[in-house]
Amino acid sequence: MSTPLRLVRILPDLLGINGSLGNAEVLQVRARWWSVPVEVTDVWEGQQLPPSADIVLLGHGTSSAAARAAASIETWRDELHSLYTRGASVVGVGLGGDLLGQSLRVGQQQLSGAGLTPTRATLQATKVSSEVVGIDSDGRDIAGYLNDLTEREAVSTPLCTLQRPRNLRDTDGYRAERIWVSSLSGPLLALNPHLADDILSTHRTLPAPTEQHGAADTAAAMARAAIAARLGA
Amino acid sequence: MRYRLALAVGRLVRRLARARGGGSAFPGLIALRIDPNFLEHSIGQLPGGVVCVTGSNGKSTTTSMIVAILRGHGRRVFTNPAGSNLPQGLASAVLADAGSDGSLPADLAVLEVDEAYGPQISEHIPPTHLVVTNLQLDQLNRFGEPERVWQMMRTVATRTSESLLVNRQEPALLALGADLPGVAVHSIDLSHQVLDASPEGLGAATLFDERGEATTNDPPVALLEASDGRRAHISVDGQAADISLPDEGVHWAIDAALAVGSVRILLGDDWSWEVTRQAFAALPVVYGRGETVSAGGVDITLLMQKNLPSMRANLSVVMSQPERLWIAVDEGTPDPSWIFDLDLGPIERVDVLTGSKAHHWATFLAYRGVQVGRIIDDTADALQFFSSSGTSPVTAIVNYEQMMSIRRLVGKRDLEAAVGGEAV
Repeated sequence: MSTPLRLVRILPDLLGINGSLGNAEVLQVRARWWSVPVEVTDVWEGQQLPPSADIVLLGHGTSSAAARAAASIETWRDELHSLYTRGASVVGVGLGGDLLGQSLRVGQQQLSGAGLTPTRATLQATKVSSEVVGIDSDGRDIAGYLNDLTEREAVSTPLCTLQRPRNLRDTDGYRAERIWVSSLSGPLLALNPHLADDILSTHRTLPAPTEQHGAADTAAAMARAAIAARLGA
Repeated sequence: MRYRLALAVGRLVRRLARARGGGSAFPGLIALRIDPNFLEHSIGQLPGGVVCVTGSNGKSTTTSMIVAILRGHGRRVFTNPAGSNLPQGLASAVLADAGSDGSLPADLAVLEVDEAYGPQISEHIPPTHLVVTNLQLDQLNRFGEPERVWQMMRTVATRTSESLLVNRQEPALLALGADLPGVAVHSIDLSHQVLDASPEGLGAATLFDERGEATTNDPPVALLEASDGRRAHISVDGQAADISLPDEGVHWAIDAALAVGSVRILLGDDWSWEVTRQAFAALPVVYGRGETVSAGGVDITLLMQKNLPSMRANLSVVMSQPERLWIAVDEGTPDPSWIFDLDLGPIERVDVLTGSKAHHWATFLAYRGVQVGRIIDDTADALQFFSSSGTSPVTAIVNYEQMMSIRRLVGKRDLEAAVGGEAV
């Protein structure tokens, strides 16, 4: 039995709506299909982060949830940096992703983020709601649903370039060495399993896909193709 | 003058629309274009005022229950058909009901109001009484987050003149009643027995600030003591009674408690338990929620879902793997990401996936290890498959649009005639 992959979900009660914790499920199940055991740890308000982890994941929350989560994340700022420095991958979706950045403005409140990304975000500035398709920096398809109330200053290394719908947004998310941030739901990693495998391969050498991977990835490819067709891409 | 013109033209358009085989919100839209104050010139003139029923789920049900109880007590009630909850839907309902002099033959109005259109509708016809059924994680693609919906509800609450009724188990709804001069804030409550029977919760959205901590010490106007199948045990003023529900599920019982509480507030001492019980006994099954239709001799039970809480409510009555299971979801559910938050319970196999979101569902089911028989994109083809491949009953989990398609395909067009301008 190989060493378990340690997956940490941060504040799943606050940062876990609209299927965003499905991203953790996708990582967990894909690892299991490769017979890699996964140890999932949920961290709640008032607790300490574990001293080490392979993958840290923050899901999406509402504005009031994000405002409350920010207080915890501020106290965990050094621990989050330490986990990242010691090799953890960090995945943030929706407002969970914004809380990995420099700051998040919610109404009159200026919330501090974890400072792991350069993002400065403002909530409730605009509302975007649409299926989207694009490509990541490796030229691979990306698809999902962009349901976003947040405006962000542009970053130099987005997760993906959006191609359709035109004139919606140019890019989505942020990508650095072991950081994946996105506003896309779907959930992101279910519809775009190559991203899930990018994350997993940071911590394990991945064998050839199993039959189960094949079935899930075929379904995801069909779902992405359906979105692309609806958007005329 | 404008009102009379709007009424005349709207009615003409309505006759033409109906002659073409459909009912729609279009005549109401025309009437509103001619007279932007069409609603206050009609509904706004009713002597008994306006009861608005809004919320994420249960608006149609609660509205129909309130109407039935009030009519049982002899009140003449104007209401809008289920789902016709936008301004044009209300206006179309006025065109259908107004007399030759333009007045509505009613004492009061009980209106189902879409939460997003509540501010617009209440600007024209401020409610005398407001009933908010619930606030859930609903249609995030449309609303963004429940905090925004709360703000819309709050706008309507601030325009309400007499009473607000909510479920006190939802603190965010109690918070709607803060600082409303002259408005009596009432609530219903649920017993521990009812709460304990729903360990996953009842789908209320949590607001993680002071709104999520609101409480009340006032006695509830109605208490849902127990819910068992199609029966609910509700007490009012210390008197308890059993009532029958249109279908199984605690959400029906909560809607019933809100309806009973609402009419108790409206009628005061004129309210009667006996009349209320009779009204519930006569309620028809509400479309799409447990309704069974027949296709080629095969019974198809429709379980309509529109969001995570309603899907959970539907799945809560699926106690074992259905003989044949059909999931049909299309663009009416633009972002189905929330399916990853579902516990599928006993479901191990889905026979057919249909609709434009079928592959999305197939992806999800692959991660849950649920077998998928086949994907049949077209609803008519899927219906044909089921009716030609066996006689065992089919459980169909559908969204609103697919429900309407299936009902149309099996020859049920009654809802299409009734519904207009819907945003269910």
